[in-house]
Order: sequence, then C-alpha cells, then structure tokens
Amino acid sequence: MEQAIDKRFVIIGCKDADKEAIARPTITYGQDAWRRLKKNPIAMISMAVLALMALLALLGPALCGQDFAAMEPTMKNLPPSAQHWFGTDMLGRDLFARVCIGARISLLIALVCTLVQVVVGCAYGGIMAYFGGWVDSVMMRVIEVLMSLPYLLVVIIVMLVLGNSVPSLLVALCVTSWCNTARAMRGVILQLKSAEYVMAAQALGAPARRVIMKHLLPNTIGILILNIATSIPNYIFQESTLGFLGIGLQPPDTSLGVLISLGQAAMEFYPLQLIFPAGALVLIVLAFNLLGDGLRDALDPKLRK
Amino acid sequence: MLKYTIRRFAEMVFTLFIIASATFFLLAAVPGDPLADRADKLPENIRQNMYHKYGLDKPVLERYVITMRGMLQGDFGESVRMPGYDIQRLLSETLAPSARLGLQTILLGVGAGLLLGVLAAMCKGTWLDHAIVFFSVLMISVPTLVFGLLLQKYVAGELGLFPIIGWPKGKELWLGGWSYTVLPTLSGCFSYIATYSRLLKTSMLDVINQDYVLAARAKGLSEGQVVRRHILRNSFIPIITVLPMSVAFALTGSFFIEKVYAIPGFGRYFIEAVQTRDLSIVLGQTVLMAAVYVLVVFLVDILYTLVDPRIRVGGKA
Amino acid sequence: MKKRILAFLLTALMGLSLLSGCGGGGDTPADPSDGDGGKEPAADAQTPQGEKLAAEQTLQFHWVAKDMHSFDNNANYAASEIQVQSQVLEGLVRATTDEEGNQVMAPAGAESWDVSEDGLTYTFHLREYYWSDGVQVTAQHFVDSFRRLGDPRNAFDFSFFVGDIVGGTELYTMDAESATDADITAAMEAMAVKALDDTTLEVTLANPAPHFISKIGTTFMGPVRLDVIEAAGELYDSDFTTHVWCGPFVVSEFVKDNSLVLTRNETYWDAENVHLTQVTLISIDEVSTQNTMFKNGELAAIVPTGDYVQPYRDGLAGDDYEYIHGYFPGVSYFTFNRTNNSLSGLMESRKIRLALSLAINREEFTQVIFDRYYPGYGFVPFGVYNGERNYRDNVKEPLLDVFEEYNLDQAKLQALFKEGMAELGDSRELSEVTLTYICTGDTAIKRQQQEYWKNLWETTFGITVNVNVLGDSALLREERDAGRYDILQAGWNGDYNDPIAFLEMWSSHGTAIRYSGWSAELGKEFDKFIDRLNAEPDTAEREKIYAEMEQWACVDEVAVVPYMYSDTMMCVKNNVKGMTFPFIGPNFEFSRAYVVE
Repeated sequence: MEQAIDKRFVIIGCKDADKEAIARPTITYGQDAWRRLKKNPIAMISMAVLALMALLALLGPALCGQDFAAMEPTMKNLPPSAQHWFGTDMLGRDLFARVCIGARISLLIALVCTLVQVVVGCAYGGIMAYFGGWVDSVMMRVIEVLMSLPYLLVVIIVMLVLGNSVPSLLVALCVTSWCNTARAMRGVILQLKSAEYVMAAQALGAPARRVIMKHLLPNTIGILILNIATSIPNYIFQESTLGFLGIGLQPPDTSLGVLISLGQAAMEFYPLQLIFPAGALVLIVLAFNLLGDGLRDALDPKLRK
Repeated sequence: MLKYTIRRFAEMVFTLFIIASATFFLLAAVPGDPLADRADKLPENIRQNMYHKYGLDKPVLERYVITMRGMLQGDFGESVRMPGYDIQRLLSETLAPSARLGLQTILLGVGAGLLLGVLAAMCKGTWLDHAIVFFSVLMISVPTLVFGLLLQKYVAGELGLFPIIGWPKGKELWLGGWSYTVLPTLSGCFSYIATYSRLLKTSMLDVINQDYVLAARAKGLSEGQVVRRHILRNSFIPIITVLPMSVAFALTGSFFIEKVYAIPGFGRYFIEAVQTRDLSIVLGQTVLMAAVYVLVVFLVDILYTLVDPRIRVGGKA
Repeated sequence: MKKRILAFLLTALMGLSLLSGCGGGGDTPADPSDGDGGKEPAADAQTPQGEKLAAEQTLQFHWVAKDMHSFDNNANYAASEIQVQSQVLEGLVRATTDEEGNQVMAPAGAESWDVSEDGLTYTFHLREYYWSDGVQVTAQHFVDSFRRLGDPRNAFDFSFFVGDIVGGTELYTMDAESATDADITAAMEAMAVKALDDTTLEVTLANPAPHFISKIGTTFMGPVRLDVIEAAGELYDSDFTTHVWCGPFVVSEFVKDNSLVLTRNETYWDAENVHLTQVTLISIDEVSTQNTMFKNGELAAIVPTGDYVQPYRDGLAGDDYEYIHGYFPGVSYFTFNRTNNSLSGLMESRKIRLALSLAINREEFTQVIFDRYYPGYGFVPFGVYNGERNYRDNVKEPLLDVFEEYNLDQAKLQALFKEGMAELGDSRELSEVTLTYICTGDTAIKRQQQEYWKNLWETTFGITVNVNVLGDSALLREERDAGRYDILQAGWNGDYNDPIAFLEMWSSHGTAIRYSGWSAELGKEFDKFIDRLNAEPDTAEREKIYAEMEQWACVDEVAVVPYMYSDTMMCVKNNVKGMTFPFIGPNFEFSRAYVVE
C-alpha cells in the first residue's frame, strides 16, 4: 500500500471531510409540514377563520353582552340592530349570542367526538394489526356488528336510553364512529409493516423507535389528519341532522343544528334566522375542509418537494 | 374461494343473530312501549286487555324467545302501530319509490361528483379546484330539508316547472313520471356530489404521485393514457369501498326528501319505528340493513380483486 | 312550525286524538241542486243561490296519513281514521253543524228514533239503504258492531263507548286473559242491543245518558259486516279492497302512510246531494308545502299553524279564502301529585293548590304565549252541549268569582299559600319552598310555556320552581308513576259532546288516576256526583249536577287547575261551499260540499 501512494500527492489531512454533510440546518418532519402549510394561503386563511370562529364561540356572548337563553316575549323576531347584532328569534332571544353558543357546542361536540374516534380507533386498530390472529378476528367481528347496525337507529336508541343531553349526544355519536378509523388504521399499519422502505430501514439497522417515528407515524398521520378533517364537519352535520329530528340537546343548550332547524321553521317569514346559523355552519365546515386539504398536502411525505 | 365464502356466510349468520339480540334488548331497555301513549288515557281494563292482545304483558325474556323463534322462520311479527303489516309487506309496498329515488340520486350525485373530482384533481390549486370545493361544501351545508323546501317553493310553487309534491305510481313506478322525480333527486344528490368529488380528488392526488405513474409517463404514454389506465383505475379503489354502502343506504330512502315531497317511501320508518318502539319493524330493518351491509362488504372484497390485481381474496398474494 | 304546534296539540292537549272541527263557521251549509234526480250533477247545474257549479267536482285536503292505522271502524282511535270513516260509513246519525255552527246529530242511517220517558230505551228506525255490494244495512249490523266493539279480546280503544248500554260495562271490563270465550260470548249476547227487525234497533241504557246520540254518531259505533270481516281475515285492518262501504264515498285508492282517494258512492242513499266526484286526502308533512299548495289552489283548505296563523287570520295570505275560527273540545290544565307522596309534601293542602291556580293570569298567558286559544276558568270548554243545552252558556265558569276575589293580589295569594303551609304544620319561609313541575317538550313554544310557569309562580310566591323537562312521554310517565313531582301539566280532549266526557275522569274509575296524579280514594268522593247523575234523565237537572262537579273539581277540592281551552282555525277556499266542521267528529265534513266556479 505504501508504494501505491504517488509521491506527487501530499496528504494534507481531511479538513473538508464534512463536505458531504448537509449544510442547511436539518428540519424535523413537523417543521417541514408547518413550513409547507405556511406557503398555502388558502389553508392559512382557513386557519384564521377557524381561530376567529373559535374566539367568537368562546367570547361572542360576552362581546355582545346578551344572554343566549333569556327570553323577552315583547322582542320577538326583531331584525338585526345595534343591540341585537343578528336580531332576535321567535322567543325574543338574542340570535348572535345563540349562534355563538351554538357554534361553541357544535365545535365542542365535533372536537370531542373526533378525539374519541381517533384515540379509540387508533388503539383498537393498532391492537388488531399488532396481535393479528384470533384477536384480530374477534375484534373485527365486533366492528362488523357495530357497523352493520343502521347508524340512525343506534343514535336514536342511545338517545332514548340516556335522555337528551350533551354527554349522551357525545356517546351516541361516538358509539360506531371509531370503527372506520380503527379499520383504516389496521389496514395502514398492516400495509406499512411490509412496505419496502420500512424493510429497508430495518435492514439498515434502524432502531424500532426510529422506524416508528420516522416512517410509520408520518405515513399514518396523513390518513389520520384526513380522517380528522373529514370527521369534524361530519359530526357537525350529524348533530345538525339530529337537531332536525328533535333528538339531541335539551334546552337551554343549543347548537348550530338546533338553530338551523328552528330557523327552517321560521324561514318563510324571518329568513335571517336561518341564514345566520347556516352561514356560521358553512364557514366552519368550509374552513375545516380547506384546512384539511392543506394539512394533507403538507403532512404527506410523498408530496415533499 | 368456496371455503372462504362458506366461512364468511357462517360469520354473517352469527353477526345477524348478535345484532338482532342487541336490538331487541336495547329497545327493551328504552322506556315506553308502542301502546303506552295510547293506553295512558284509557280505562284500566281496556289498557290491560290491550297489552294482553299484543303480548306485551309477557316478561322480556319470554318475548325475546318468541321473537327469535319467529325470526328463524322469517316471521318478524306484526307491527303494533300498523295492524296487518309486517316488515316484508311494508317493504314490498314502500321500497320501490325509495329505491328509485335512491338510484336516481346516486347516479346523478356520484356521476357529477366523480366528474368534479377528476376536474378538481387535474386542476389542483386553480380557481376551478377552489370553486368546486366551495360549491360542494356550500351545498352539503344547507340541510336537505331546507334545500328541498326552497326548491319546492320557488321552482315548483312560483315557477310551476314541476309538481309540488307526489311520486309516479302504478305503471310509472319505475319508469316515467319523470317530472315528479326531478326536484327530489336534485335535493338529495348534493351530499353525494360533495362526498364523491372529495373522495376521488384525494385518491387521485395520492395516485398521481405514485412511482408507477411516473414510470408510465417515463415510458412516454400520452397523458390521456396515463390518466385513464393508471391514475383513474387505481383511484377508484377507495370509491369501490364506499359506493356499495352508499347504494344500499340510498335504496332504503331518505327521511327528509320523502317528507318534503310526500313520497310514499321507506325512509320515514327508520325514525318512526324506533320512536313508537315498534319492535317488529325495528328488528326487521336492523336485520335487513345488517344483512345488506355484510353482503356488501363481502362483495366489495370480491370486487377489489377485479380492480386491484394486487389483492387476492382468500389466499396469499 | 307545524310540527311544533301539532306536537303541542297532541301532547299538551293529550285527550284521545279525536281532533274535531269547530262551530262558528259562518258558511251556511246550502242544500244545492235539490231534486237533481240522483244523477251526476250536470256541469251547468246551479245552486239555490244561483252559483254555477264547477265542471270538476274534486277536492284535495291535507290529512295525517300515518294515523290511518286501520280500516276497521271499531278499531279506530285517531283523527285521520275518523275523517275517512265518517265519509265512507253511514252510521245511525251524522255529525254536522247547524246554521249557527252548533253541532247537531242529523238523522242518517236512522230516519228517526224514539227515546222512552225514562231516557233509557232508544229505538232507532233505520232507512232502507245498502252496502256497496248490494246487501241492505240492517239493525243486526249495528248489533254486531256494538258487540264487537265491546269484546275484551279485541281491546279496542273506544270499547268503553258501549259502557252506557245495559251489560256493556260488564262486557268491556272483562279480563281477556282469564275470561273464557264462552263467558265473553254470553256477555256479548247479554248486552241490551236488539235488532227487533231488519230496520229497527233497540238499545237499552243502564243509566240515562242524553249524550248517547253523540256517541252513536261516532264512527266506532257504525255498522259492520261480520261476513266481510271473516272473509277478509287478517287483511281487514289494512286492505281496503276487502271492505264494503255504505257512506257518501268509497275508498278507491290507498297508499300506506301517504294518501287516500275517495270517490263518490253511486249507491249511497243520498247520492243526489253528494256532488264531489273525488276527494284526495294526502299527507303533506311540511306546513310550508301546505301553504304553497293552498296558494296554488291544490289544497281546498289549510289549518294554519305557528307563524302562519297571523297572516292567515289577518288576511295577509290572500283574499280567496274564508277564515274560520271556532271552539274545540279540549282543555289544558295542571294537576297535582295527590297520591300522598308529592316531592314537596305540600300538595295535600287545598289552599296551596288554590293559590297556585289563582296566581295564573289566564288572559295574559294565552295572549302572550299563543296569541290564540281561550283563557279557561273551568274544566268544560266552550261549545260543549248537554243534550240540547249549551253548557257554558248556562253555567258560569267556576273559577271566575274566586279569581276576582283575589284578583292576582300578590300579598293575598302569598298569605293563602302560607296558611296552607301552616295547616300542614310547615313553618318554613316561602323562599325555602321548592316545587317540582314535570312536563315534556323542548320545542320553542313549550320552552316558552315552561319558562312562563316557572317565572310566574316564583315571582308571585317567592318560592323556587324546578322545571323537569323530560325527553319524551315515556320518560314523563316513568317520573310521574314514581311520584317524583308536585305539579303535572296535561290536557284532555272530549271524545263525545257532553260535559261528562271531561268530568268523568275524576271518578274512582276515571282516567285521571293514572293520567293526572289522582287517587282512587279521592275519586270515591267524586262518585257521589256520578251516582246522582246516573239517576237523572232531565238535562236541566243534569246541568246543575255538572256545575257542582265542576265547582268541586276546580274550586272546592282544587283537583285541577284548568287554564286554557283549545280552538280550531281553518281556511277554506272561497269556491268550496257546503263544508261543515263538526265540533266532535271528523275535521272536515265534506260529503255535501261542492265547488263553484
């Protein structure tokens, strides 16, 4: 080997050995997603709208200084004014405060249900995929039973058994909703377990933690985010449908669904009573949808450029 | 394949049994019974005789055994609210309008939805994409009932373009009488448009970035060929998972649309039967829906193999 | 909105769902084209008023199809069924209204009837008329009907209508589980209904009951054909093609829970006065749709509800209809938990009950909350007849005097409440008292009422009122039967036209025992009135007894706190004439209606 080295060359050390190193600071998956999300103006606007709606839902009633439940028989069906920003409903209650409270409860229901759905669904799906075999079979049967029960039937029965209230509404909406998430998670995890890049990572000696954090999680989170983004508006819709059927909340609690169904009854004479809550619903659902689209793009590692 | 089918079938029967039992006991746990409201204001003797007549004076377990025995023989029992009707007769008289409405709605809704989905995916990020998203969200945000009533009031009532209420009957039950069906179909299709355009768009965007699409492009296939043979075909897999369930669901009717347009369909019974605690009808519906669901899941599994060559049913790939 | 009000009507005014029409209709039922010879009226036929009959004699009404449970007239219990049966069945008498809009029971299947001196024996003389299959309607068909109605095995809702007849109560109160078929048959035959010959029916009553004709006029007591019932078997309830008809119309089309078409019965005995060739009854669930169709002329009549009441009443909804407003045999009331286990323990005090009753400003309540209905100071609503005597015209509402005495004076009312507490040995301050009020309904209008009552009693007495709104009637019943309440809101509709249809519920066998917090022991006190009534055939004397009963129930005992009587509102297109709206019976009596150009 000594002889092989040409004397014309001088060893000057390896000062530049880190040339191959990545010059720019490494960014984590989350940072990257956030960076890409920031570049998407529509997603950012949606986020701002959602933040604003959430703020109004929390502080709106305080802002306008009206109580959402106080009835004033002499002030029925008033048009919007400085005192009542959205006017009053057929019982003389301030519509702005009611829309805020309605949005609050609708958002609360949607968020809580989605959280339950994701947590239960992931855990259940993960267990199924992890253990496989008869555990998987039995757990799959349970899902099948739950999912083949007509949704409306289950909800009505649960509401009848538990009575109309926010907690029982949450239970009713969650009873079967996690099944789809669980199925999806099971599928994804099974698929990922045998994916080439996971195999490659394992072959290269990556520790399990790294496989899970760098490969499995980013690849399932896209599905999860999509699941969440579609679930939230879905829950808002479902609650609103139940409002039309007179199932769900007990006064004075109200929700966008209840408000829209009351507005529908009055739409012939006081269309604003329908338009305001329906408008709030459209805004929230639209924002969630567009933000979901943006998040999906941002979080999908395959779309990285 | 045969062994797989038999196993699936046995599982299905077991699932249905569990569902029927669960429904029975859930309904038994709900306060009230189909006679309670009616009998509450009647003299005591009549009330007792009435409960005796419908067998509602028996203990729950005894009723459960009677119900299950009947179900095994295909007899779900007579409705209490609707004397002379059991689930089979009710379906035979009310399913046709619901099924036609459902089919028309699905055809229009899914057709338009898929078209818009392709458009949105191909023009991703342009104003057209955003317009489609906005439009579909707007349309599903308006409750079906409200949208139906608005269409009815303005298009039918003020403009007089279509009948206000009604549904084709007799010879026109399945074909003809189209003018009756326009508004109900329109009122119902938007939720499908929104769902399917979104689903297809998402799925297409996933597929577009797949390596085999890149490979196809690299091979020099024309854009049309790439879209048709590689992107669309693969994008339809999630659609096939969801579509059969939508069809099954749509065939059994829409409560709100049938209500607005006075369509003699099956949709109303889902809610009414539970609210009146009409056990035989509720059981019939549940078991029927569950059977349809289980069958559909089975069919979807089979369908997968036709669309996606990577999946093989019943064995190792 | 309609759903809301309907729900209110159905639950708040619970009664047996015998919705009925109103009196007070200004339109005199004209007797058009007399002597037209039983033929189809010619297109250019004229009415006595010189109006020209329209070429097309068809009408369409909204009708709640899901309440059409059965085509068996004995089994009927809902308004929709009564609406149909009243037009396809010819009973002994037919409910209609006279020129003042008061209910009359007009001879129909019976040309005339005699009542014995003691008011116990009714002899009906049937006219010669036929079923649609050509068989004559005979007295035996009524005998069969009454027996079938009372048969405990059938457990028909209105089986208690045979209770007036000798042996009737014994029949319908039999226990179907323990009685043998032979016992029941014997009891059926023992009931005093006899077909003396084909056209003479004799009914003997156990006690004088001037309202018996009103009961006879209901469709439950219309004739039945046992041979047809037997031939139809299980389909008798649900398949109209197995039926034969004897009324002005026949059923020609029926779509389950959707619509029903009636066509003129050419074999009807009075077919010459039936002008409508076809009437469609169709279920239109949304009131907005009804409104659109009424404006378009596709509906002949509309019952405005909710926000539609005002425009229709004030004529803002057009000028091509007649607005009709009238009485309805329904009363809304509060009762108390009188089974000795009320939550507060205070409901045993008459003074407290009276104070709660007198605190209600009934005028304000009906005005502010509903802007319709009548303030009720008695338990028997306006428009109810006792025989030929209009009860409310002759008997002052019992609460009026005592209400005037207190005149909503807060101090006096509080003192009364305190006195009641003192009598029970309760020395708490008013502010420490909590009363629980249970009710159902989370619709806007119900919410408003609940708030109103809570607010009213709390501000008047300084007590706390818990409003327990229960999810549905089943949950309410659970709470009620467990006695977890003090005050209960309920309603009652009369099933036939007589004050006793309302007052009887407070007897020891009355429905109030289960339905309105009453107890059998308290009912026994009320029975002394019933005993006196049962011995009294004279309507003027009966009226006095009724007045005493009502006074006892509302003031002396304060069994009940009535606060509101129902009403009916209806709008009918101007070109539709000859409709009547019976006080009790079908919503629309259109068998003699006609359309003018």
